[in-house]
Amino acid sequence: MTEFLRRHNLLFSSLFLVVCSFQLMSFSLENRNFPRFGARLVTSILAPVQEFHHELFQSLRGAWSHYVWLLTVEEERNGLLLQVKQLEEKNSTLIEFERENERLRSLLNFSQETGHRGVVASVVGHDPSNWLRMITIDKGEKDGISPGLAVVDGHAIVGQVTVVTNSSAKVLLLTDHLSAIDAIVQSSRAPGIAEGMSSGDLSLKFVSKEDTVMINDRVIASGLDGVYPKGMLIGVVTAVNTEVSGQFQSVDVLPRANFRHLETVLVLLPSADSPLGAIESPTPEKMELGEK
Amino acid sequence: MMRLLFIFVLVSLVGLFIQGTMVRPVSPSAVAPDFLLVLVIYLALHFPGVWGLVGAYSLGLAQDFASGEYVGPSAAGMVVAFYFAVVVSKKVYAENAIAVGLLVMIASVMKSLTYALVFEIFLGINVLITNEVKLWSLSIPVMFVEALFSGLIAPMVMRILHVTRKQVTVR
Repeated sequence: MTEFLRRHNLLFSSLFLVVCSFQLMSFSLENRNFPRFGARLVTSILAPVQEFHHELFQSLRGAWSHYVWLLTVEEERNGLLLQVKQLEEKNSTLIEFERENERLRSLLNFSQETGHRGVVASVVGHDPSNWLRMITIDKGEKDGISPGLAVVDGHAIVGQVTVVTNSSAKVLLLTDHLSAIDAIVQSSRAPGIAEGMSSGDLSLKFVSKEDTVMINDRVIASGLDGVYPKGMLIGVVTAVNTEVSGQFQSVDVLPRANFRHLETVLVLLPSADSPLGAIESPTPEKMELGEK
Repeated sequence: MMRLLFIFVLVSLVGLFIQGTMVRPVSPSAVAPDFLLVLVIYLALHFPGVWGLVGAYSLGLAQDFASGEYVGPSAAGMVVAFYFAVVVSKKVYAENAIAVGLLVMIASVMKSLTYALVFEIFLGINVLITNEVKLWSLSIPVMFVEALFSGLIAPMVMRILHVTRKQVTVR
């Protein structure tokens, strides 16, 4: 018997423990506090570890979701950067429109204030040679342009139309050495001839030493040449030299027109009472009739 | 001996912690592998005597107490699983990973069946067929999934336990 029990001690021990389990189950059904007491004991041991693990897991999860969020943010950022670039391009275009609007408005105001009719033209080219200061505009015969017409930029004189084609024209700038404008000093009414110099400035020649010319005096067109309307601004006196020999003083004039940033000009059409107006210059109506 | 006992208690707590914590954040309803059962099978393979049986019973009791509702079902299940593993290991060589995995899977099913039997006897509830039991959502698919997971992790856990035991006994 003992040998039998010894040989099968594991089996009997297992059966015994199973019976004990049944007893414990029965006891726990009758005494509900019994299993809960044990649960409190086990929980008190495991809870701190579980809390630490929970916080660690939450941190890792947060870090991961933040990483994923960052990836999303980067994608969004790239999209926004592209959008910004597109908006910047659009803004640049709008700024251009705004500036062109300002230029055109300036020309329009000039035309309204002075009462001169004109044709707005854009500067599309410059003379390729280094000897002449000329620009090419995108208006020509079909727009009513003819040689000899004055060109302004809304503030001051730019030059004179010299060569005209059907759809374009060349303008000799007043800073060219071939250009000469009959001018007067606005304050002292001293007459002179404004000629272009190779430096890009103007020289007011044939001003008598008896006339008073001061620096910052405005130099305007006299209107006697029949090209530029009287009173139109040419430039401002920057230097006066009366020590030169002869009866005339040397006067340097800074042109008012901004030749370096010339984009839009106004070609003044001849008025009825101007010498050029007497010359039959082609008008749109006449050109239409001519075409017919 | 005391050192082994200490290691045993520590591993039991780790097993309880892993089983009740690590899988749940991933999915609250996910089926967790039975780490404690793997430990019981390890005891069966390396300590196939009465002390091993007592250790298995203790693990079952710990699992019951951790739940806090009924004491006895897991304990009985662990005893049955332990005895089954001892009997099988005496007949079949169960040292390689596949054999261990299969052994754990079958032992898990036997433990679940014992569990269900205890509930049937004491509560009159068939936990395998119906879904009426809210506390222990045991069902046949869950039983097999748990067995599968337990079998899959068993070789790795056994290896860790074996290495740990060697280091402890060498020192």
